[in-house]
Order: sequence, then C-alpha cells, then structure tokens
Amino acid sequence: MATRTKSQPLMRLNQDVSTLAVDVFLFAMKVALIFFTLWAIVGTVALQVNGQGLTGAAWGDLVVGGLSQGFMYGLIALGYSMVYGVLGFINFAHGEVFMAGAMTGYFVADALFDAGLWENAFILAILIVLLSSVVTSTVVAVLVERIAYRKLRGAPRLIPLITSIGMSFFLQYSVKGLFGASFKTFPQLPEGLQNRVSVFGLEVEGIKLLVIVAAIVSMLALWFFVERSRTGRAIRAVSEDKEIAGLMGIDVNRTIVMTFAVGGAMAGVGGMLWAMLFRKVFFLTGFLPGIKAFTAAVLGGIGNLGGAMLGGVTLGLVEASGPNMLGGLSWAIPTWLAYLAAAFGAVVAYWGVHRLRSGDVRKVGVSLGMLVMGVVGVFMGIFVLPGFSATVPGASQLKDMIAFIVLIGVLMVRPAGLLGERLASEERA
Amino acid sequence: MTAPTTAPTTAPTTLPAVDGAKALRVGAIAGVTAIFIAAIGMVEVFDDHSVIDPLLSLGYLSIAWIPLLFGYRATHQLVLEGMEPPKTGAHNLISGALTGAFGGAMLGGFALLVDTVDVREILINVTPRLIEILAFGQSAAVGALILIALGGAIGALGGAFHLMSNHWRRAVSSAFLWILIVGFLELVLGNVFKGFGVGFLNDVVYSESRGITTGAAVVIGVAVVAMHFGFAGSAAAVRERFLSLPEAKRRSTGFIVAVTLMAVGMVVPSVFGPFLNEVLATVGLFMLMALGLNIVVGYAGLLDLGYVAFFAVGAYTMAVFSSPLTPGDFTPEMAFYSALPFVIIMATIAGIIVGTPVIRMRGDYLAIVTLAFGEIARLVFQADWLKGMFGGAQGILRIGWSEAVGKSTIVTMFGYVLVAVGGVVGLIGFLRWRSARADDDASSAKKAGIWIGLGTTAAVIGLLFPDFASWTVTGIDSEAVFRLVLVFVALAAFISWRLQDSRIGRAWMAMREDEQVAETMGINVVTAKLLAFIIGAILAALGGALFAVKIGTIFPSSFKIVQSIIILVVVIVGGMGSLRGVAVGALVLIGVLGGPTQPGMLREFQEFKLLIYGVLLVYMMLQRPEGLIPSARRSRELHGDELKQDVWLDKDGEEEV
Repeated sequence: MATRTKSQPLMRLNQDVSTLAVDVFLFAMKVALIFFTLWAIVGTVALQVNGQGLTGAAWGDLVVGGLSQGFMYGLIALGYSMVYGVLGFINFAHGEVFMAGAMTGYFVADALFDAGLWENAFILAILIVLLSSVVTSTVVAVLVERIAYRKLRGAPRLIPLITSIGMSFFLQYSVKGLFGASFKTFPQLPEGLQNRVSVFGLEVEGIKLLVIVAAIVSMLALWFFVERSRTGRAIRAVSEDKEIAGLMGIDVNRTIVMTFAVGGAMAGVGGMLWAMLFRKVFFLTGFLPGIKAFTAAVLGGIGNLGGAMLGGVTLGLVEASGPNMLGGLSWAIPTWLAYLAAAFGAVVAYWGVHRLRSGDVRKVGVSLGMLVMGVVGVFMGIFVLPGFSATVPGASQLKDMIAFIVLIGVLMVRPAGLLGERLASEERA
Repeated sequence: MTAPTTAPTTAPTTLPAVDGAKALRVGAIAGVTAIFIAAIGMVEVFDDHSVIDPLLSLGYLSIAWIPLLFGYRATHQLVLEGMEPPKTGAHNLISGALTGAFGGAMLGGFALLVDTVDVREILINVTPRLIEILAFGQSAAVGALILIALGGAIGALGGAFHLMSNHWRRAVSSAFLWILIVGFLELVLGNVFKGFGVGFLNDVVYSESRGITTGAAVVIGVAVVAMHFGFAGSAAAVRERFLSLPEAKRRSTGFIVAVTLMAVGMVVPSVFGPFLNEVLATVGLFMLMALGLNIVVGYAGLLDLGYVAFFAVGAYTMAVFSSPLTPGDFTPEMAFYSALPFVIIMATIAGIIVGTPVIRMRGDYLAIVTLAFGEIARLVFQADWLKGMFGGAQGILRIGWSEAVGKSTIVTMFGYVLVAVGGVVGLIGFLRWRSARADDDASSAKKAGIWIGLGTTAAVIGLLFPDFASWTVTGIDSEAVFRLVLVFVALAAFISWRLQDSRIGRAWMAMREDEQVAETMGINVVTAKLLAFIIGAILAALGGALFAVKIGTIFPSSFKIVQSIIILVVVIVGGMGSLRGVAVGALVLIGVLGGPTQPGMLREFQEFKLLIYGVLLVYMMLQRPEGLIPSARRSRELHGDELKQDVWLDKDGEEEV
C-alpha cells in the first residue's frame, strides 16, 4: 500500500471481474433494501399527515401488540444468544424448548381449569402454570444439551447446527406423536385480563400488559443472575474464554449446562406467556417464533443479553407495523423528492468516481457499486420515480416475510447487530 | 474399534464383576425409549404388519430391538489401539439380562399404570388396543411379567453378542438384517417374482399378513450365516483387488457398474406395480435434488437449508411457461423442453440472488439466511400480492398440458437429443483440436477432427429429422416418469462426477477445509461459492420442473422447509460429498420412508417419518458425521485425530473443551 498509483484499481478491475460484479450486485441489493425501507416509512408518514392512515388508537394497538410479541421474541432470543455466546452455534432446537413450555402451560392450565382453581384463585393458578412451564423447558433444554450437544464440543461449527436441526424435528414430531397434531386451546382468561386498561393514555389489553411486565421482570431477574451471582460470573467467564475459565477453576461443563438451563427457563416463561396471549398451541408453535427470535438475537447483537431484548422488541414492532408500512408504498412519490433522489444519486456517483480515482484499493467493488447505483439513481429519479406508487395487496400475509427480510438485511448490512456481538474469542470468525 | 495388535502382557485372572448400577442405568434409558415408542403410537400402528409370520410383527419389532441393543451396550466398551480388550464371560449375559429386564419392567409398569389410570386425554395414542398389545392379550399384570421375562431374555441375547467371535457376531447380525430386509421388501420381491414368472415363490416366502414365513426366515438366516463362512474373506478379497487396480481401471470399472445399474433401473420398473413405481419416481426426484445439494453441502461445504426455494423456482417457472391456465396474461404454453432453458435461467438467477448476500457470511449465518430465503420463496408464491402471476394459494393447474393427449405430457424428440449430443461431441472435438494444434500433434488433431465431423453430422441429421423417433411420457404414468427422471439423475451424477476432481471441484474442497487458506492460495472464493449455488440451484430446479409436470398441479404448500431438511438428511446419511452415498441414501431413505408428503414403501411409517428423519440426523452427526458411504477425504477431515494411540488419555472426553 506504500505506493498507490492511479492505475492500480483498474488493474484490479481486470483481475477478477466476477468478484467486482458480485460486490456491485451486493451493493445494489443493500441500496434497494434501504430505498424501499425509506420509501415505506416516508410514505406512511406522508399518508398519515394527509389523514389517510390509521387512527391513533389503531397505531397504539399495533405498537402494544408489537411490544408484547417483541418481548416474547426477546425472551426466546436470550436462549439463542447465550448459547451462541458460550458454544458458538445456533441452537435450532431452542424454538422447540419454547414450544415445550407453551404445551406444558396448556396442559397444566387445562387441568387447573377443570379443578376449578383457574377461576377461584387465578394468581395461584398462573404461578403454578408458570412454574411448570419453566421447569419443563429447563429440563428439555438441559436434556437436549446432554443428549445431542455434549459430545460435539469442539466439532466443526456446522455439525452441532445440523444436530440441532435434527433435534428440533425430533421434538416437534415427538410432541405430535405423544399429544396429537390438533390445536390446543388455552382456557379463557378471567375478565380482568381481557378488559382494556389505560396506561399512559393508551388503551391496553390487560393480558398484553401482563406479558410485557412479566417479560421485563424475567429479563431483570436474568440480568441480576448473570451480572451478580457467582454462576452468572462463571457464565460470562466461559463465554469469554472457555480454556482460561477452566484454568481459573470454573467447572466449564456445569456452566454450559447452566447456560442451557437459564436459556430454557426464559423460553419457558416466553412459552407460557405465548400460550396465554394467543391461546392456541400446537406442535409447530415453536418453529417460526424460534427463527424470528434468532433474528432478534442477531439484530440486537448475538451474545449480548441487552441486545437480545432490544432486538426482540424492535423485531416485534417492525413486524406489527410492517404490513401497514407496506401500505406506505402506495404513496405517490412527489416530483421534487424524485429529483432530490436524482441529485443524491449524482452525488453518490461522483463520490464513487472520486474513490475509484483516488485509488482506494480495498473497496473497489463498493466504489464501483456507488458509481453504478448513483447513475441508476439519477435515471430512476428523473424518469421513473416522479409520481410512482405501488400497492401491495394482502400485505398482512407478508408479516413473516418482513421478519425474514429483516434477518437477511441485518446480516448483510450490519452483521454485528445493533449493540454489537459478544462472543468467545475462539468463536469470533 | 481396532483390534489389539499385541497380546496383553499381564492377563487379569478374575472376570470383572457385574456392574449393576450401570446395567440399571442403561436399562432405564431402554425403558424410557420403549415407553416413548409405545406412547407415540408406533407399536399400535405397526402391529398389523407382520415381519416374521406369526412370530414377530413390526409393532413388536419396534420395541424388541431395544433390549437387544441396550443389552449389548450394557457391557460394551470402546477398545482403542493399544488397550487390552475386556474379558468376556457370564457378566455380559447377566448385565444384558438385567438391563433388558429392567427396561421391560419399566414398560410393563407403564402398561399397568395406563391400564388403571386413563391418560388418553393427554397421551392420545395410548389406546386400549396398545395396552392389549403390550400385555400380549393377557391382563396387564401378567403382561408386565411377560415383558420383564422377554426383556431379560432378549437383553441376555444382546449381551451374548460379546461372547461371540467377531466373525460370528458379524454373521449373526447380518443374518438378522437379511431376514428383516427380505421381510420389508415384500412388496418389491413379490412384484419381481411375479414379473419373472415365479409367482409361486411369493406364497412360499411370504404369508398373507405381508411378513415372511417362519420357515423362510430360518432358511434365510442359515443361508446368510453359511455364506459368511463359505465366502469368508472373499468380499474383502474382491474389495482388495478392486483397490489394487490402477486408478484409470478403477474409474472405468466404477463407470461400468454405474451404467449397469442405470440399465437395471430402466428395466426393473416394468415388473413393478403402480404403487412401487410411484415410490421409485419420488426416489428419482429426490436423488436428483440430493445430487444437487451434495454439490452445495458436500463439495463446497455450504449448509444450504433453503434448498427448497430452487425446487419451487423450477416448478413455478415450468408451470408459468407451460400451463394454459397461468393466472397472468403471460401464457406461452410451451412444451416441457422448450420451457426447460427458462427453468435453467431462472434457477441461475435465483442461485445468484440467494448466493450473493451469503458469500461473506460465516457458515451458520449462511445456513439461517438460506433458510429464510426458502421460506420467503414459499411466501412469495403463496401471497395474494403476486396472485396474478403465481395463482396464490390456489396454485397453477395443468402444467405441461398437451391438448392432444389431454394430460400433462413430456415429449422427447430424439432428433433434438441427437442435436444436443452432437453439439457436445462437436464441442469436445473442437476443444481437443485446439489443444492438439497448440501442441503441434497432428494425429490427435486428426482424431479430434473426426469427433467434430461426427458431432456436426449428428446435429445436422437431428435438425433435418427432429421427430424421427419420439418418447411421450405422461405425468400420471409413474413408470415412464421414473425412467425420464433416471435420465436426468444420470446426467446430474455424471456432472457431479466430472466436477469432483475438476479445477472448480478442487477449489470447493479447499474452500470447505479452510476458506481463508484457500483464498490466500489464490482461489477465487466468491466465484467458487456462487458456482456451487448456481449448479445446485439448476439441479434442484430441474427436479422441480419434473415434479411439476409429474403431478400436473402445484401449490405453494408443496414447498415447505421440511423438503429441504429431508434432502439434507439424505445427503448426510448417505455421506456428504460421496456420489454413491447420496444415491444409496436417496434409494433407501426415500424408498422406505418416503418424501414429505409422498409415501414410501413402508406406508406405516407415514406418521413417523419426520420423527425418524430427525433422529437420523442427530444419530448420524453424533456417530458417523461422514455418512454411511463416506467419501474418503470427508472422513479424514472429520476423524483426523481419533483412534490414535493417546486418545485414551482423555477417555472421559468431558473435560475437553
């Protein structure tokens, strides 16, 4: 890098065109992702200002719904995040640990309902349900670790991942075989939880409030456990460096089991809350929330407990408001904004040329991408975008898709997540 | 696992005592396994299918293997190089019996419990019928005693395996295995017997309840043991001789074997009934896709969990291009082969779209992102958003429709086949001619010229008479579909085989072992990864296109993630990176258990197959990550440092991190 000549980047251009083409394509994908996100947000706001959007109360409902869902994602994400932080692999079966909690919640609640305890002593009943969900999920998580993962410490990273996929299938279809494939309907909640209560001027369903509060309490408990207790300190030490933690007299094996147990307990809380909120549980309940919770963990920064919670809440909010945001695409882009975009494109294109000429050898692909996308932007801004709008029918069906696109987008644009990842030294790739 | 090379210098005189605690622990695991299998309903569902008539039904078999295996495991020890083998004796039998009896007691206790307390509200498959089966038709208490006695006996049998010499153990296990295989193959063999005019054999070997008769079982068992001793070592000798052949000869032998198998595959379906041919067609489709995934996962080491996306792209492209009922205005109504180039183009684009974002991601993120793409593909095809194009949840009907035939049809005109073959021959000739000219090798150039001439002639003849012969395959004729799929499988296998040791194949291998090192050594990781994705995508899309025409109608619900996972199981069980492994894996797994919705040969497994696929995945990863028929290199990668002299030093292995 000592002598940068102007011809250097062009030489690189000749060397591997395919790599450059891929870089440009990747850059274009990122730009398109950001462009559509911005358009959706700006469009939604603009429609709202024009008075074409949802009412304030409807938005409030969406936000509260997104928050409660997001906190549950956060609770599951903690397990993914902790295990990834300590062992460095995606515990695919964690979604099924969550499902086990939800299932247990249903069975215990149903039994208590039959016994009459549900209506007479609701608080006691709910505590019993919570306890059994947490215990089941913890036991399942620890058993999975014992049976499937312990032998694989130190195996190539993909081996435990594949194992966990197998475990996930095994758990799903065991539950189907044992308890049947039908939807299990959670008993009706007492009146008080179904009514709306007013918090900070928002009308909130009681159950959603309960979910949010319970999630925050569990999160705080976990935080205290990890930050203040002896075991928590051991977990942090092991996730920092297993070998040295072992040399310092920490029982690494026991600590890893504890990590699974704590993650499982949080998933148990999440599962029980899920069963209460949606009142429907079946053997595939864990699959989608599992993947989404992993998305949340990555979004917040994997290995980072605060990040998992933040990621969960963010994902919940994005997912809840996303379909409406897609409606924002129907906002016709005004001409002045389109021209502004064209001007921005021109600046970016010039910037790209500048970077290419100044010979920044490392990021030729990005510079080229800026040039290409800048030119595309100018063209689009002048000829296509003025007055352009798009309607997406059936946007609510795309809820899951939005979550997956968030996952792909985060890993493309900012793989370390919002708050940065914290991984064991040997897992940082 | 390896036999000791030296005799122990100091032989202990006393036998080890029976380790009761361990036997009970293993027995408890056995009991839990048995209760689990009973409670998910396997025993009951399998009960109608007898394996050895009238001794053993598949239902009893599904729990009888447990005491056998765990009875063996109760005193099993891993013998590493340089360690002396454990003494065998009565303790093996006693431990085995104890283990089996304890497992039986647990199962019997379970049966007693569910007989008194009704748990059907929760465990829906614990039916009175199940309790009756577990009690052998007696009262539950008597049944429990029988279970304990049987468990003990079978467990002791399992323990007795330790007393046999290696040779006998292998002979007896394979006798068991063969009896089971013949039992399971009732459908296939029955058809084959009938097809070759020896239908009477069917009545001799099989009873009416689909099991083999006791007499036949005994004959098979004795025959297999006798074969083992009669031909002792000859299999090894054949293998030895094969391995000692020079590389080129070995390759050509392998090639001839493959071609022979293909020919057999072409002929055999005509003796099968429609159901078996349906199964075979499914096997072929999955084999095609597994070969594709093998390139991505096995060769390049990229764990693609959303492989079903490419399958869906292929199926939908074929549907849109060939169906007269395409929802949108775009209805080219092409024939299968005219639409095929578009399938390949769309697959390439899909491969690039999925492959590009994941290029710089580490392995596990790659897996989860491809999984996301797999789900996105299904959601896109399902959504109302693009209903005008893909028909939403209603799917697309009449794919590959031929007005003349009134069915979904694939017409292969041999004239165009000739053009394609001629083109390839001509191209090869041209390349050889060019390299010969560069080397100034006149005689080679002449030979290459003949190739060019032959290729061109064939192509011209093909173009002049495109329909001098044609082969019409309709979608519902699974026999013909299987043959066509087999042609594609052969093509895919040939491509994979040629790619394996090619420049790009070696680049994949280097990348799989260490990406950074590969990149440092000058391998273009970006192109290598993209190429793997694209080739894999094309093979999956071909599978999708064939699938679409085969069933004539596609719905987005056919393209769930389960499909990807099942293909992954096939590749992993067979052996990542091993062509033989993948082929055998598809044949055995899909043939016996079936695809996500398609039935396999054992229809009883329908309910449990996803469970079994999950267990297989875990088991293989724990015990044999390189697969059943591994590629040599892959097993070296995965077992590089095992079974070495000093591994026993950290035998517990648990402290190792």
